[in-house]
Amino acid sequence: MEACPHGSLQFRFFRIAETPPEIAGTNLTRRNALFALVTGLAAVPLLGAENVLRKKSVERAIRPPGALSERDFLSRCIRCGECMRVCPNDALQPAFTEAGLNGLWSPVVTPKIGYCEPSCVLCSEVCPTGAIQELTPHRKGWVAGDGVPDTPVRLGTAVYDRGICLPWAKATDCVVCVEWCPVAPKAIYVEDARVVDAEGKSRMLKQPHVDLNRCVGCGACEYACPIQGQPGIYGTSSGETRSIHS
Amino acid sequence: MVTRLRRLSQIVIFISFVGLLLRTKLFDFSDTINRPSFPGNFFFKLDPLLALTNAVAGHAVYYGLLWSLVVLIPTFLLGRFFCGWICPLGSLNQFLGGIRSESGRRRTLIAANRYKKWQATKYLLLIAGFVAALCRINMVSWIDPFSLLVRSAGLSILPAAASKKYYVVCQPHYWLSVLLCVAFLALLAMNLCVTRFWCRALCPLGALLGMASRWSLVGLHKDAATCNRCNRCLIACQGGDDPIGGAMAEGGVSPLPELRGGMPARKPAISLLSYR
Repeated sequence: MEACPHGSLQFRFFRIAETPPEIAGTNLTRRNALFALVTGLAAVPLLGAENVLRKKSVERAIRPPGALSERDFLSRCIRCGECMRVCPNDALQPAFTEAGLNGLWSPVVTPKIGYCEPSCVLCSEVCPTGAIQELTPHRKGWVAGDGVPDTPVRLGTAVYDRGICLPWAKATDCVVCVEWCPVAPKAIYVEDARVVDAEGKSRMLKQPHVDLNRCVGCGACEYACPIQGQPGIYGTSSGETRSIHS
Repeated sequence: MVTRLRRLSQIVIFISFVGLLLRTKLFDFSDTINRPSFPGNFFFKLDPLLALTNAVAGHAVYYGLLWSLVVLIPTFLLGRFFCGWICPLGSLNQFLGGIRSESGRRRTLIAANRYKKWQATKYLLLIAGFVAALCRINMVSWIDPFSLLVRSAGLSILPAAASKKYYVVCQPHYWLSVLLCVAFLALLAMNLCVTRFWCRALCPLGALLGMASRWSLVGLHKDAATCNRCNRCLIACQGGDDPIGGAMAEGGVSPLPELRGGMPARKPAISLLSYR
């Protein structure tokens, strides 16, 4: 407007009356609009079929606390990444193939990088679309104290890989996961067991177990597991509360 | 005056947007329970596209997104003011589009700022995305400008720019962020060829607001009597607007020698196309 040396341009009210109707449109042809409509429709079953394939990996797609049930979650999540940025432990990472094509860039808890901080509900606070429903630390229920609800929000359950875990597979003492478990009382208990080591000597050590009733699936045990590569205990999404409530 | 106000608005909003984005990692997390509430999602709430697709795909109106009416309702009256005055991605695109000196681009700017048929792509994206959202696939919101900017800048650009090694302000790194980075930089680089390429061609929010502004009361008017078709307005407009009521002559002759360039002298027909 200010570029015009003649003052020929100005903002005006009710310009439609003097505008030829051809100008006011969006320049969409009917054919193009129909093409877009069909494309949108075609995307739905294609991505739906892909959900079946997702079953092979869905157990490892652990969602943040407060997330809606998977279908609702994916339809509401806009992949903005705010939850990943506020996560104090960088536990939330953008999914690539973990949650299927329709789950691209959606947040997954990645315990190898960081675990879900027990007192923190920041991701549920910043989510702009309610894909992660707003929580309070009290409602999350992971911190011991007065009035913590009986049913904490569970992200899933940790599972031991007894072929890898030191006390189970290698007759070696290790209770790192027990020490790290933030749930009170601890969700990992140990059992005295007599094992035979590589030299054939019999000895006593403590073998850890997950208490399915207390584990909230935060992933601290997997984060802390001293084994390089594939950990001896890992978080899964099985037993997550959202599959029950929503 | 209007231009200055607009630039001020763009700068203030862009800085506050980046500030909020940075604050997501500058927060003091030592006390996760007794900390002040944090409006990290403020800008998303202003977004009518998110409100619409979220309601359609999620089968629920999310209360926070009702703020988007603050943007949507004035659009019916004022047109797409959001794109030029508020949108941080639009401001970024506009800034990058202005990097290559205008004197060097004048001739191409006139050509570039004319309406192209591919600029309707954004409407196709919006329609396809809306239809998919009806069936609960909400992919169109992935390319919402706020979502795109926060995801790309927050998960790839800022972490790369502020690596723990070199800066006090450390940014975490994210899985496969390089893909986000490449796609985002490619979009930004397109501005060097076509100013505000993203806004003109692809932005589904711009398309939605464009549809809402179809009957807007205020618009740019050109007085055909005093206009001598110098095409200066086409050079100045980053949005590529053809002023309504007698737009630039398609391939017409500019009376200014530096603008005349090699354009063929044709009859000064009134263009029927407009960027809306």
